[in-house]
Amino acid sequence: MGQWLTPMLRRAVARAKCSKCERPAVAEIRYARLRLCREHFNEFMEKKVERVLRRVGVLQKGRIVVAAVSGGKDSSTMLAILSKLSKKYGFRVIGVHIVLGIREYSEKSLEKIQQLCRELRVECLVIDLERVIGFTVPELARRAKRPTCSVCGLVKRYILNAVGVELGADYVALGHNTDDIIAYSIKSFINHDITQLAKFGPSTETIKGVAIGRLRPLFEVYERESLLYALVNKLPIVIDECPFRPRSPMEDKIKEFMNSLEDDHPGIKLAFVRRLEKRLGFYKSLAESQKYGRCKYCGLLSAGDVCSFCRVTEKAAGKPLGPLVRSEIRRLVASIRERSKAP
Amino acid sequence: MARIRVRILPSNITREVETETGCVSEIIRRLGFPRESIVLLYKGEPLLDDMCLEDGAVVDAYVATSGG
Repeated sequence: MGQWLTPMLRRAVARAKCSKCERPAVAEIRYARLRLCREHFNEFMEKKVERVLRRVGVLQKGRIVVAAVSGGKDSSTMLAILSKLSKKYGFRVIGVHIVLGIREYSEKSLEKIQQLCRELRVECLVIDLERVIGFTVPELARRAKRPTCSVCGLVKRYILNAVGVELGADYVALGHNTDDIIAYSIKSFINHDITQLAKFGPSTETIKGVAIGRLRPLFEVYERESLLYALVNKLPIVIDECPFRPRSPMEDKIKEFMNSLEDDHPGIKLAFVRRLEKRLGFYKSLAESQKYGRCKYCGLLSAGDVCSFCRVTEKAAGKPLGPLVRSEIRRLVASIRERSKAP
Repeated sequence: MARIRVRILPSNITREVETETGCVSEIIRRLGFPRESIVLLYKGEPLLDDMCLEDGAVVDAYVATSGG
């Protein structure tokens, strides 16, 4: 068998041409039957994000989008595309990175984010949790006797929302890609949690002054495409995994299954999220009505008298730390405003 | 036969994959990943499915589903 294969091995790494031009292809998009060079792949990706943002109403001059950036492939790809689109449409993007205090992982992430923001010329706010509240995420989790990932998610949600409120932002953009959204929504189906499922659209609503709506610019971007975009554009990204990441979370199993399906039925993942978006109104009608108020300590969104962040920090530190975090964020936001006024 | 050395990221584990064709689709199949969840890079450039590598080639395999 090896005999007749020799000529094929000789033409090793011969590149096919782009479907749109003569340049060599770097990406194959099976569901669109396209092979694209770097330039056309970038255009393809940017158009995908642009379409989602247009549907949501972000592409307007004066809009403010806070982009949550971790240093990973998805949020870096998201920031790079948002930065390009913001220049085209005149909306403002501000990156926010939270230093969680997870040893070298956090150090590497910060280094990559600072490099990315410099390269993209995007203003980025860095919030070092330990410097603000005196605890890292692992310490906070240990003191509060809660799983690290749960406290990490809680801290990130709280800080991103607080930054959005202080900046008067229209949205907080998250790097959730198509695969993430499918995994989260199937998990919600498994748990029969329709209220949660109804939140997995390309955006969620803002409750003025207390909660900023979430935006998912990568709603129609596959995880593999997001990685490819970061790699072909040589974006500085952290490849390492968080040391606290569970070994085999349910989301990974769902993604693996969906990727096997996608191999046999190209485009099935895209169809899933598009149909999900169309059915959101129906899921919202089934969702349990939730009453929200303001936290009595920090004034941000809360389902009860005290928000989860103030409750956890009160348990860990003896007092709710929401007000402290909010005042530090106010100071950082004021410094951004000062800088933008400077000639 | 083409033996391809694959460095899997982020785990940084290197595996030697024995293939009949040296082609990307076969490498991915032998690694045991769905093709949708992995990106192969050769000398820093992404590889397409029908591209083939010579015996002894070293590639990086980025697992898309890891990290974010």
